[in-house]
Amino acid sequence: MIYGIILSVLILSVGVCFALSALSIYRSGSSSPYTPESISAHFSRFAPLVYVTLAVIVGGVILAWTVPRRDLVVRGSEDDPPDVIVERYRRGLYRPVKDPATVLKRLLARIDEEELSHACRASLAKERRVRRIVGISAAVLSAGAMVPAFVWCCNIDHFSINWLNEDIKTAALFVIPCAAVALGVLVGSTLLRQASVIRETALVKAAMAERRGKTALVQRDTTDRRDPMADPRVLWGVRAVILAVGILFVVLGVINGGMADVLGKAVRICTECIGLG
Amino acid sequence: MKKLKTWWLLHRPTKRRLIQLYAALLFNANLKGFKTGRIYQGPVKNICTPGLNCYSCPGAVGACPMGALQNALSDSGKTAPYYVLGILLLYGFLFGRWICGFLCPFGLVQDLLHKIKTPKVGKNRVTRVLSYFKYVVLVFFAVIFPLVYMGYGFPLPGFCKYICPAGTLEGAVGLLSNPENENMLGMLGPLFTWKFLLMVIFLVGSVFIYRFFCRFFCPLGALYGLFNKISLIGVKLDKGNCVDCGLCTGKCKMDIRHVGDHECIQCGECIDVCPTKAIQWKGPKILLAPQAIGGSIATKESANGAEEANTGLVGTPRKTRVARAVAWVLALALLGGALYYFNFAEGKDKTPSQDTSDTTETETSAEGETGEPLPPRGNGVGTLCVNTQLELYTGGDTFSVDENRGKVTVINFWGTWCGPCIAELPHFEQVAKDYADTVTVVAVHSNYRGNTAAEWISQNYPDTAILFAQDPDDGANGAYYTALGGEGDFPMTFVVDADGVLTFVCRGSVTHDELVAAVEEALAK
Repeated sequence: MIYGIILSVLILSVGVCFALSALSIYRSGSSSPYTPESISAHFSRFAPLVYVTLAVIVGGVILAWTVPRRDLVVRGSEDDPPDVIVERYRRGLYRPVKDPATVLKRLLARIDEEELSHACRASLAKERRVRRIVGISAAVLSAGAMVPAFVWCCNIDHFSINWLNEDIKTAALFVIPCAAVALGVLVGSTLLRQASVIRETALVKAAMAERRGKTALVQRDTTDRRDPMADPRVLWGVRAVILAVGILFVVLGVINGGMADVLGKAVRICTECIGLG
Repeated sequence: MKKLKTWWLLHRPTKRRLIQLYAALLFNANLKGFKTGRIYQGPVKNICTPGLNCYSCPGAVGACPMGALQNALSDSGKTAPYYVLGILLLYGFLFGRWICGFLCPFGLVQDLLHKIKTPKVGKNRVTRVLSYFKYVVLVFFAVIFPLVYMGYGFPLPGFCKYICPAGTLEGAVGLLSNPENENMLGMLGPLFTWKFLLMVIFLVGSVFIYRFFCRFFCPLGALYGLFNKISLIGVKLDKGNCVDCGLCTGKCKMDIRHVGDHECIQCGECIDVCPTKAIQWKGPKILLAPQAIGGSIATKESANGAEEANTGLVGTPRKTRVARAVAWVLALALLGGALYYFNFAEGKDKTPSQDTSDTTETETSAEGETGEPLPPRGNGVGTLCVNTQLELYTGGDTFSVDENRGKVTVINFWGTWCGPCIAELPHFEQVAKDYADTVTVVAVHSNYRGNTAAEWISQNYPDTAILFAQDPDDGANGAYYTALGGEGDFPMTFVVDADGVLTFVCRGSVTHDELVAAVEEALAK
């Protein structure tokens, strides 16, 4: 743990030093700031830090190779029952992550909702309605948040060759807040929906506890029938179409010179295109 | 011996790691490029590598699919981007995001950095949502920006130019770290500083956050993820056997909701942890025994309490083992053949040569306008400019520097496929107009497709003061460009004084002020 913290501090420090050195060189005021001398002068200042970090990393690797590992559990024998295998993993680093929606789905598969009380069924319906509304609202809001960015970027008047980098920076400054809003809405809706699922799970568990012994458990089929790719005919049909279209496109691309374009671009370095500018 | 064997079985690289290293070496087999500082310019670059591997890496032997896509979209007004789209469809159909897990060199870099033993930032619901940001990068930087600038006839690979850390690490740093390319340092400025900062952020982030770039920013992963469900190779979940224990999603460090979704990089590490064997490989099992993929090994306690290592191969049929061995031998033969072909086979070196054209003159002329003896021919400042006859698109039939003695000559090497080249042409147009009596500006086009430049020039510069010329094709960058010391990077600008002596050489873009200053200096001599 201490080793990890020390190494984290070292790596972050090295990263910060690299970043600050690059900024310092760029801001030196010269028209061609990056020269062998300036690079050497700036980066040699924190070279000892880099060497120390590398030494700590290499030392950690050597220690890892020589000290027996305790985290490598762990399948046990092929004959062990699954619960033993699962238990071995639970003692290890891997905490199982159960998607609350999946847990709820499994619970719902074990009950007949018709036999629940009216109040319970109303509560479940309310939670599902809440989730549906939140989901649709989030989808609409997040799409709506990206529309201004789309519209702005599709207006060619916002872009020019003469001020290329400035125009792209402006576009990015417009797109990123829109994306941030959209992602924020999605994060919020995810949390709200998850809370609703957890509430519904609690309701179902309470209902199951109440009716324990009174209702036979019903094992339903929980496979996701909404997934069209679960049908092999659909899956192979889609695969065949994509394969055919892919091959056709490649052939057309060879004919219309697209392949030659790829070669021509790949053998000449457009310096700014790789960040040399 | 037993301890050594146990140690080896505990610490040996997994098959996945070996495949990643193999792929990284195969896609960067031009090892001599790291020594010479030149990129590979042979025909194999017709083919796109599956993963993010910048074409400007000195070792790269194929084109990058994301760079090729952006350039194809930039050119889609004239040429439909069938080839690149077809390649991406085929890669997606065959591999999906298995490419990310096994074949992407930059993914390997991130995996190795993540192995550094620091506290890690785990995944959660928020990172799951943030993983959708890479679709924003794909749509805006890789698709919309190139298409928007297509309207200007200006190729702009938005993702490559402003974001891609693979290009900075493999291309920029890869080229600049070679002393042969020291003169490239002069072209570095704000763009490089921005990309270098981004690269540092991505690399440092990868130490703490698993696949930091892949999860949140990589547009190629975003694209391949759409094919995960239909790809031929990868992992699949047998829902009938699945008991929803959640161990697979717990083990997985990507933001998956279930195995095989669009976030899954098909690494197969979940196969080991599934207690009901509900997760299986879709692909050929001869190479990829599930037991050996994830890195964990089966151990069992023997009667005396000591642990014995089980190779995980117990029970594998002999036929499978033989087929596996044959496959590995073939793979190694392919790699060996590639290393030999790209590094030792004759005729593949596209290193620029001074003697590439019969019309290029390299002998020394006697005296200049002032009567002083002229320096020898060369391509550096202070040398007599190498001369050749260039065919013109505009302004006449042919042009040569020697025939233009008495006037300053500005030679700019450019291409319609090069955005920065197009962006700086207005500076040359302005200089050509402002110094019409004393300066001749020649823009020499390096092209690989015949008439593209003529059409582009007639559309964009119909009444131009610039002489547009075509560089004779030498199968590489152009004969005159090569004779003047060009090494594949564009644009390049030379200023030649009235005596034919080079006074200014600039690699990369040149500003209007720099150009005017160079012209004034040449005029003063």
